[in-house]
This record gives sequence, C-alpha cells and structure tokens, in this order.
Amino acid sequence: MKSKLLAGTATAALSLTLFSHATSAATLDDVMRRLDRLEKENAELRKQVHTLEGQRGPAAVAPAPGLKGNPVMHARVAPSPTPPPPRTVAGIPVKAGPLGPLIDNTTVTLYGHFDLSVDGLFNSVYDQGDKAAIASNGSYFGIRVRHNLAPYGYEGYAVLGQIEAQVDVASQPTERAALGTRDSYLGIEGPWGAIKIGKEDTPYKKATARMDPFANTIADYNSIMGNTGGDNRAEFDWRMSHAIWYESPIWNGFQVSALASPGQNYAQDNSDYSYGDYFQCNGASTRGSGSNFPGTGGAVPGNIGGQGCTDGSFGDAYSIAGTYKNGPWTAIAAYELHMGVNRQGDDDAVLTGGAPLVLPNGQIVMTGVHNEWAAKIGGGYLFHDALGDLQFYAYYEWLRREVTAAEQPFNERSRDGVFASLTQHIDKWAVSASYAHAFKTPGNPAVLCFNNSVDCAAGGTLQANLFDDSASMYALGARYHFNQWASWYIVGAVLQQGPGAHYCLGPSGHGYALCGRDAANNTIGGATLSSVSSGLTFDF
Amino acid sequence: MMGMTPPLSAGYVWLGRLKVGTMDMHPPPGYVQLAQTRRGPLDILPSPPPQAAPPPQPAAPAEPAPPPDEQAAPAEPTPIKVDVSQYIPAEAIAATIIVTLSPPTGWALVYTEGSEDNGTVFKGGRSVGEIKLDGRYIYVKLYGPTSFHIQYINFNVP
Repeated sequence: MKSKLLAGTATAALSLTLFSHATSAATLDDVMRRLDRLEKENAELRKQVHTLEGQRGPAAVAPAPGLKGNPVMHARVAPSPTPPPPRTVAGIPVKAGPLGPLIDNTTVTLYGHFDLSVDGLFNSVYDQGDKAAIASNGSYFGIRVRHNLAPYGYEGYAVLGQIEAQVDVASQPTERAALGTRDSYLGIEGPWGAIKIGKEDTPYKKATARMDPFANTIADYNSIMGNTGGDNRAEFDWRMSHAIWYESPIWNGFQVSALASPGQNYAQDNSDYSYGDYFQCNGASTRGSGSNFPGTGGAVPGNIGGQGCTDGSFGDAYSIAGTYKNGPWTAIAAYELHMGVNRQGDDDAVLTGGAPLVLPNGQIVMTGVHNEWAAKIGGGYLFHDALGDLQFYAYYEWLRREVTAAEQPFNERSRDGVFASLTQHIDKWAVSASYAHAFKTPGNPAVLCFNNSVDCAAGGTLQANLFDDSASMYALGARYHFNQWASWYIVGAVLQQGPGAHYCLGPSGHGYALCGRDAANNTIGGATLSSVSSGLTFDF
Repeated sequence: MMGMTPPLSAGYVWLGRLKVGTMDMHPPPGYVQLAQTRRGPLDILPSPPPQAAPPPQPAAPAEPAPPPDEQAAPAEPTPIKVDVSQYIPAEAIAATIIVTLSPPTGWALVYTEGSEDNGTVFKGGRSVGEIKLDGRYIYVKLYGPTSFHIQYINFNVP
C-alpha cells in the first residue's frame, strides 16, 4: 500500500512536471509552424508579384475620340516611364521644387541664362591696338512665381511675380549684383492678356529682339539700332523702370503691348533722380551720365540728387508695339516716346553755370530739353530651302529729337537706321549674317579728336557736325545648338563710321562696349572697330 | 533547454532520451505577436535553404519581348503632338498658354520631346501656365478629358 502510494505520488509529480514542459513545448512548436507557414506565404506572394510584373506587356491605347492634333501612336516619342501622380494641393496638381509648393496652387520657376565669351578686340585708336578680353554678356538669374487663381473661381487667371537679376559672372562684383536689376514685376494674367507693374524691356525693344542673331554678343545690333548718339547706350532699346504695362494674348498671330512710365522727378527739367531711383538718373546707363553717389565723380557735389542728370535723363515715357507672327510671316510696328529729355550736359548750360559752349567754328551749342521718339516697322519670312530653314528679318527705324531749327546743327539724336539679318539653319548649326546702318544726323554738338595723341592732348579739334557721322556694322557668325538650351557661337563684327561718328561695338547687352576712345577717355572720331568673339550659352 | 535537446517536432517533447507525447495548446496571443514583430526569432527558425534563382525563360520566338522603354508607355494616355510654330517664333524658349479641357475634369500634361518629367500640368476647365519650348512641337497628354484647346498668351525669347 505504501509502495503504491509512493508510486502514485511519484507519478503525479512527474505528470505535473511533464505537463508544464508539454505546455511550453507545444507553444514553441506552434509558433514555429505558424512562422514557417508565413514564410512560405511570403515567398509565394513574392513569386506572384514577379510573375505579374513580367507579364506587363504592351497594350494598344486607342486615342480618345475628339482629340485635336496629330496623335503619336508609338511610345518612343515619349519614352519616359509612367510618372508618379502629380503633387496635389487641395486636389489641384501643382508643380514645385523638391521642397514642395511654397503656397498652394503656386508654381515656382527658377530660370537663368549664361553667356560667357572670349573676345579679340581690334581698335584703330592710336593707343589701343589689339587686346584679348573675357565678358559676361547679359547673364541673368530669375525666379518666376505663378499663383493659379482657377481653384478660387477665376478660371484662366493667375497672379504672376518675377524677380530677375543680372549676374555679371566674369566681372568685378558691384551693386549691380543685387536682386531685381532686370525684368522684375508683379502682375495678373488671364485670357485677355496681362497687366504688370515693375520694370521690363519696353515693347519697342522686344518687338525686334528676335531679329538679331547676335544679341548680347560683340556684334549686337544695338551698336547702331535704337542708339541715338552712338557711344555705349541704346536709348531706344531700354529696360524701363517704374513702369506699368499691358501685354495682349496672341490673336491669330497678332499681339500688342503697351507700357507707360511716369518720370516722377522732383526737377521739372528731369535733371534729378526719379522717386525711388537713388543715385541713378532715369535713362542713364548704370552709374553713368550723371548717376553716382553724392560727392563722387559724375554727380554734382552737394545734395542728394545733385541735379546732374543732364545727359539724356527723361521724364514720362510711353512705348507700344504690335507684332504679327503667322506661319512663315513676321511683321512688327513699334513706337516709343521719351518726354523732356535733358541734354543740357552737351551744351554745358548747367555744369558751367550757363556759360556757352563754343565750337571751333564759332557756333554756340544749344541742346536743351526736348522730347525724343522712335518708330520702326519691319518683318521677316521663313524660307525652307534644301539646307533647312532660312530666316530673313529686316526693319527700318526713325529716331527723332524734336528740337527747334536753331538747335538742329547740334542735333545728333535724329536719324534713320536700317537693319537686316539672315540665318541659315543646317541641322544643329545656324550660320548668320547681319547688317546695320546709321544714316547721317542733322548735326552734332561734340568736338572729337583726330586719331593722334597730339590732337587729343589738346582736347580735340574735330568739329563733328562738319563731318559725316553715318556708320555701318557688318557681322558674320555661326552658332552650334547642342539643344534648345545650350549653344556655342563664334562671331566677327566690323564697325566702320564717318569721321564725325562715335559708335561702339557691343553696347546694351555685351559685357562691355568697345568704343573709339583713348586711354584718357577722349573720343576719337570715325574709329574703325572690329572684334572676333566666341562664347558659350546656357539657358535653364 | 531548447539548445540542449534535438529539434522539436509537433506534439512531442524529449525527457532525457524519452520521447514523450504532449498536449497541443494554443500559444499565448502576446507571444505570437512578439514573434511576428521581432526579427530575431525569424532568423533562427528553420527555413528552406536558399535556392538558386531559376534560369531565365527564353523568349518565345514568335513573340519577342518588347524593349523596356515600350513596356511602361501603354499605361499612359496617347501623347498628342501640337505644332506651335504657327504663332510662336522659333527663337522662343518658353510660352505662356491657357489650356481649356473638355470635359473640365482631370488634367493635361504639356511637355516637349524627351522632357516629359519636366512638363507642366494644367488642371480643371481653364488654367494658365508656362511651358518650356524645344523646337516647334509640344506634346499633350490628357488624363481624363477627351479634348483640349490652347490659347497662346505670350512667349519668352532669351
């Protein structure tokens, strides 16, 4: 009995022990089986996914009915893979950088243009000779922001802002590197066009911009076209400050643009800085023609403003242009008016306290303050020849300063001009030639130097209004387009001018202008200027 | 304990050299959850040895596989080629346009050849936007609408 009791007790104890182990063993075993099953299921799913991916094959997609245009039925035209779903904000697709949209329904576009060149300069001025140079030619960087108003009930409308800065890539840093030095504005656009406020190339300037195959190079047509007095400023190829303008949409190829810019000047003769234009005369090149900081060269000492804006500073300005582009045909007409253009710097009336400036033949220079205007008409045609497209452009220009008869002998701002260009496209190459001519003006206020150091040291004796001041520029060049965004070019230009003329190569666009001036900044009449330039451009 | 015993099989446990049958019991739910969320247990569990990838299947002679760049395209709407040179000069590198979609649902993607990833999306019935230009043609893909109309607003020449 006792042994049975012991055996029963031992069995019970063993059973309890085994029972506890059995519980643990059963649990682990079950987990292993489940995990093993999961692993197999996972492997099976992977296999199915791979199989499905391998089975994706081409399936023709018929064009939807009612589509306009020429359908492209093969995929190689657009060989990129299926794009990810567009980024959306409130259900509206938006386009933005990697950081995402800054504001809902807003597109931010970063854009820019590089043009860097290596130039060979050949100047007939007695102390200049041949030089090599490197230039940054109208390079810029900009931000354009378009805020789409369609989701707010204004279908087809957007608010548009742009800040564009010139980037003088190759030159010494100056205040010109500040943001907003080029076309910058805020406006609203819609089906009826756009209204913008800020500063922008005038409609007059933009009307023919596409006609110059050598824009911003040393052969830029602004050496003559839109350039009233020669030198390094094209008054009628201008970026107008404190302006408001309208740009129409394109109606069957026709577009009209109009701009107005108030002079907003303290001085009635526009000899002061415009409101908001500190140390910079309206219509002057940067820091030129009376524009400078108080007490420094170029500015009249004393008060801010200095009333030193007497070399082309103008008041109210208006510009309008109509363009037509339909198939191979192009036509343009444009007009621009600068009111109250102060040229008293030429007759010294202000700088010398009213003392007359007397020319070698005894004439007393009178220039004063008068309106100036310009008009141009032109056109183009795109031929298709055996080599490719052949683009021809030409236009005629009238430049006028409305002076009195007594002032005409000193009027170098009234003349006609003509320009023509021809570009033959051959695959990725474009070979271009251009010609610009400035007809003789009715007068001239300047006394220039003959091309020698003795005459220049004496202040010059070449009375310009007694000589022919017409000029011609010839240019020839080629451009290789890697694509629409990058190109390499080489161009050569020659500027020939009469003894009374003082035009330059490369004003208003090229990194600098090559002028007929000696080392002491004396202007030599009739210098022959030529240059060869090769550069690389890149747009983004 | 597990490390001192031969591998377990379901329903049995080793007691010394004895193989003893045990009860089948469900594991505690918390334990299963832990085993599924931790990576360690999966690594030590027995699993089939890695197998070499099966040899690639030779393509059927009658139906050669399409090039890779054509495999993804069919899922996309057919691009519609539009010639903009009628009103936009060849020198332009960008243009502002208004795209009207009909019906006014979905959106349109407008791009130049080879730059589909950098296209511009026009959403809704009528919206304005800027497109890049590269030559005389642009392409339009319609995601939902069946037709579209382009109004040219402006263009940019560098």
